[in-house]
Amino acid sequence: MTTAVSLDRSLQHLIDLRLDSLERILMDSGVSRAERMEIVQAVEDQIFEMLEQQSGEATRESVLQLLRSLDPPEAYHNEDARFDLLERVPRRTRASVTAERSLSDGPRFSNMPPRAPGIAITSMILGIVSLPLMIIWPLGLPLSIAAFICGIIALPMIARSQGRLCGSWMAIVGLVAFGLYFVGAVCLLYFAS
Amino acid sequence: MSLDVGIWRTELRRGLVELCVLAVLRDGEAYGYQIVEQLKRDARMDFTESTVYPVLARLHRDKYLTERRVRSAAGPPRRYFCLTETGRQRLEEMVCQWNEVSDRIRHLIHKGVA
Repeated sequence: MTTAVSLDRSLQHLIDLRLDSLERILMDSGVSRAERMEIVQAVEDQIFEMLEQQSGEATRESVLQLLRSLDPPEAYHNEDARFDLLERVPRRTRASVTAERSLSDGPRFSNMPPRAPGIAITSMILGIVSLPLMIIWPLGLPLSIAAFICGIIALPMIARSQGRLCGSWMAIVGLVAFGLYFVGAVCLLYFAS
Repeated sequence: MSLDVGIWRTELRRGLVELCVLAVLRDGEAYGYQIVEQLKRDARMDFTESTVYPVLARLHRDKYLTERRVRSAAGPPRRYFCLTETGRQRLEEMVCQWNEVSDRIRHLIHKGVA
């Protein structure tokens, strides 16, 4: 028996996240736009077909469970990887990892956990090291300026990464340390004169 | 199953997915999920949607398949795929090749065993 599936916006959003994630993977793999649309639409059709087959009203849990049962977006990466992944990694594990990630944190390009870029870490370290060196200002000043530059570069880089990079707080620490250094240096100069 | 045999099996499946998809469509039109389910049921080769849908998209792009959209009770319209004349020719050629290769290999194996 066929029953109409009406999803509320939050459930539709879960499905959309999965489809967006799949489309990005296909784009990364160099799949043409027309084929991307076809594949994404085929997966969407399947999701609705499976929802139709479920008894009772769709809930968040049932939609999540359904998405977990599908191949993860990474399985579509390219034909070679697709077969290798299917052969070597247990289906449930792959699916659950992807579903959890894509649904809780938004879409990502791969299974890799987000990492902090080196430039953000550098900004934080330089900023912190520069503070005690305020007394020896010819040494502290370049470090502080370097921390500021690194922080300014790192923040938009993290923002544009769509979840692949994290650690914006490190860049912010570097920028705040630069600010503190600047204020501290002005105070020192004022009291010294 | 050892790792080496697992890799060989993967390679074997890789080469067969297109033939299997075309074979499913030989007797009539079907939509994507229906093809996946039929392959799971009949071919028992663990083809899943991530292996079948890209092949379907490629075959459609290369004009071996046509699609027909049918309104679905829920969600987007269902897309039924059907073999074109060139698709049917391709299937026949692939079936011939498959029969020839499998006969030779079967002969070789049995000869080796005997």
